[in-house]
Amino acid sequence: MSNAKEPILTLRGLSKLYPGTVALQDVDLEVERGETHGIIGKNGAGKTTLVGIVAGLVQPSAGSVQINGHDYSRLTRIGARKAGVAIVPQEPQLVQQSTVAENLFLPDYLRRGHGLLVDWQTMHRRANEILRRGRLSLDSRTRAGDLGIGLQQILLMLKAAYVEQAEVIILDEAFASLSEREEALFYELIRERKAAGCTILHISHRIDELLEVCDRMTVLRDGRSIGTVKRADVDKDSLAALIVGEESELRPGAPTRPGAADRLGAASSPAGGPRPADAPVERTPVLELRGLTRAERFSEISFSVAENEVLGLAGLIGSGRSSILRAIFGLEPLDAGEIRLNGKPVRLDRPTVALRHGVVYLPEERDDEGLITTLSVKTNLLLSALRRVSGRVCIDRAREGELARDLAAQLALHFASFDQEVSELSGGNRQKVVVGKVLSTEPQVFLLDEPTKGIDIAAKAGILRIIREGLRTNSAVVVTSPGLDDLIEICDRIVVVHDGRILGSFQAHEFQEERIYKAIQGTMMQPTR
Amino acid sequence: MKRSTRIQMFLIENLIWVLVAAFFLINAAVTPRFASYANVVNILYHSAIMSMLVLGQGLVLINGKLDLSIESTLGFAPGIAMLMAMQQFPEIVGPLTAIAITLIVGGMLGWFNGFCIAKLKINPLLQTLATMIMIRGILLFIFPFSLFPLDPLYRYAGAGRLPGNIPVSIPLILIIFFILNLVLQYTPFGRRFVAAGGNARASHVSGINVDRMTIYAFVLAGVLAAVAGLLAAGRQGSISNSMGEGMVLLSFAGALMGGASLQGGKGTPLGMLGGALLLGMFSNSLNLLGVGPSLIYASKGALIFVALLLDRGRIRWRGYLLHKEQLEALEHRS
Repeated sequence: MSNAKEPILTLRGLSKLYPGTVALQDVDLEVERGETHGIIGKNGAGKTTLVGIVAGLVQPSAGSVQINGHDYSRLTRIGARKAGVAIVPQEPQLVQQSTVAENLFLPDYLRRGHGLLVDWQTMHRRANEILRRGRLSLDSRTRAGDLGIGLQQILLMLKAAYVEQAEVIILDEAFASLSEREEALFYELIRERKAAGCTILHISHRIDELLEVCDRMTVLRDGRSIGTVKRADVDKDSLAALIVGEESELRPGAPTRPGAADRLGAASSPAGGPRPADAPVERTPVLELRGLTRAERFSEISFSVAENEVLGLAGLIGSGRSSILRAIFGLEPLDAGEIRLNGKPVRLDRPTVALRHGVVYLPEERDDEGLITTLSVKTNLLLSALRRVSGRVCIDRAREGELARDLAAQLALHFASFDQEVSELSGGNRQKVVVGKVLSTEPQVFLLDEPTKGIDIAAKAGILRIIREGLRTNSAVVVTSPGLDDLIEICDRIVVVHDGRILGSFQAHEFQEERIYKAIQGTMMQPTR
Repeated sequence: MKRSTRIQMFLIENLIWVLVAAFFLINAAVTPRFASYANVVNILYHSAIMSMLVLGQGLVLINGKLDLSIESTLGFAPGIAMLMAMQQFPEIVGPLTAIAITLIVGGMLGWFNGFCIAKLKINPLLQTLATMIMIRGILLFIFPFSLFPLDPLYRYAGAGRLPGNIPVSIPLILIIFFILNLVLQYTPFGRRFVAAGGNARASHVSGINVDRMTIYAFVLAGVLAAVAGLLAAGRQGSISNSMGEGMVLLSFAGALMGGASLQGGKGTPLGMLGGALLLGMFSNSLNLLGVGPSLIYASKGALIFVALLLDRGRIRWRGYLLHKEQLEALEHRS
């Protein structure tokens, strides 16, 4: 190969704009040959977009990619593969109906007879060799769909390593869904590849994981590169501080956030009175969970939310935070536990039932679960509130228009007309429509799963304000968010979920991004309660 | 929104009626006798049967599925009813009961499709293909002949005339279209129905019983196919075992031209009426021009293709208009 000193991967001035959001802004990155380079940052920092560009899955809006000294102005997935870049994505992408061997060799099946016939025998033999090298006791004729997510992930890693023999392997949160044993296997593979001279780009949320395998780490924040640090120069705390950003530098070790406390006090109790977080006893719980358990997702989840309270569920992807909300709303089954509304036990096994009980859910997947994009803004806004706007038989058009205008004003929606299709709105405005939809039902419990996902700062601020000021009135709110700062801004209490269990909770006066950030990594500092 | 933009948007939304009007005017100028009162009535009369299939197919398409079996239902439902009325139980089943049986059989076939698709999660294409072949086969088995003469009361919907020599079927289908249009646009049920077709998961999360909507769609399609069968039997004065064969493909044509899409969640009954009329006018005008039936069939295929192109054009035009609108709004703000 060429000069070993030369970086194998050079990114210059990479930017990526999505309608309404800036995913990446002017990012430079150099990855040296043979190093294991970590990329870390909070949700929405731009990690996946960045490696997506390197893997040829995402086209950058500006900037250049240089692999092995070659400039690629338009890198396609096929091009990136030829250049020796393989990616193991967060959600393993295998052909579920095909065998392990087929998936390993896709798209270049081994052939015989002048390349006309697939050489099944050799393919299975080689596949079994590869499986043994990866220490998997698996038959190459197993169907990929029958394997667990973790094994599928390892299979993709094996494919990148031994079939494609990629020089650069990208691991995009590949560890998120692995069991302990699988994780050990994976580390083994990474070490083996490293020894073989491979360059590895490792994306993760988990600080421990990065510190264990990486030589250097690049920190992204809000789509910008904060800098690259050597493993030897950082420890867990300093890295966490870098990731979270300036806020923690401003208030080192400060026990309270005066600004937040003032605002909370002003919002829900007479000025100068005790903070609401200090007087939880006076609140009547609206929603109460007792030992909710769903096998493999979460277990023994118990907490309660009172009227006028905003409770944040903080946790990493796969920690179970979304599953908990979905199970309360009846979208996922519960194996054990009890849900109480206003003190009475209820069974919410379907969304229809949950809505009837005044529990409403804002889905994380905006376009898949939140909107009917072919229909108008008005129809979408009022879809869950049809009962409120209809007479005995027909919809009362006047009342419908009034309510829609009302919601649009509250949300500061920008659109050309109420009859416009939702598919024609920008991301931020679509998200506002989803928020408007849950708002229109006037429930007693809001379950908001990442209400600020994938939207720009202005839209985000608007939605956070609506949650804080609008939703909370006369209702209980449970919210998750990709960004801790969002939760800190609007919540009265934050419950930390890790690996499907509650590790502890923070009251408003204890909010400190760095501490909570460490807590969701699984190392709870001083759990209260 | 500017006035010119609003007018253009209105035209885009009602493109099918723009086409119907344009086609009518051009033909009125070119084709002899096309615009005469008698011919207009004739077009409507001959579109009536197909329009019921178009509407049924359109409703299923709005629900995001498709139904191949309606063309077999068209023969099967009146076939069973008349078999009972004329051969099995002539004393019990009178003509009105026979009409009821026709509609019920259509609805039950639709329910069977809908149930299998919604609850057993069978692919709609395959499910309705199976039903289509199955009931056509049964029809051929129990009905190796043509059945006539039919009771005049049973024939009334298809062959009866109102004062002014207007066929009963014309006001009948207009009323059906009108009612379903109202239901879909102005009732909560209609909103839920369309939403469930546009995005089933989001509708489920929004508290809509999506499975039930699917079953309703197929039941409606089955009943409408039975109505079409009633009209066809009435017009012919007999029931043959090949009734309806080959009609399902054109029902797609009418529904797609009327604004439906294979992705679901799109289209209105009034649009479907436009689609059905355009199909009817098209073959009528070619007929008057002396074009043979095979070429008319081919031309209908071409018409579908043009409709699909127009649909793409419509989406682009809309996107362009809205984009322009937003740019102007931005300029105003700054």
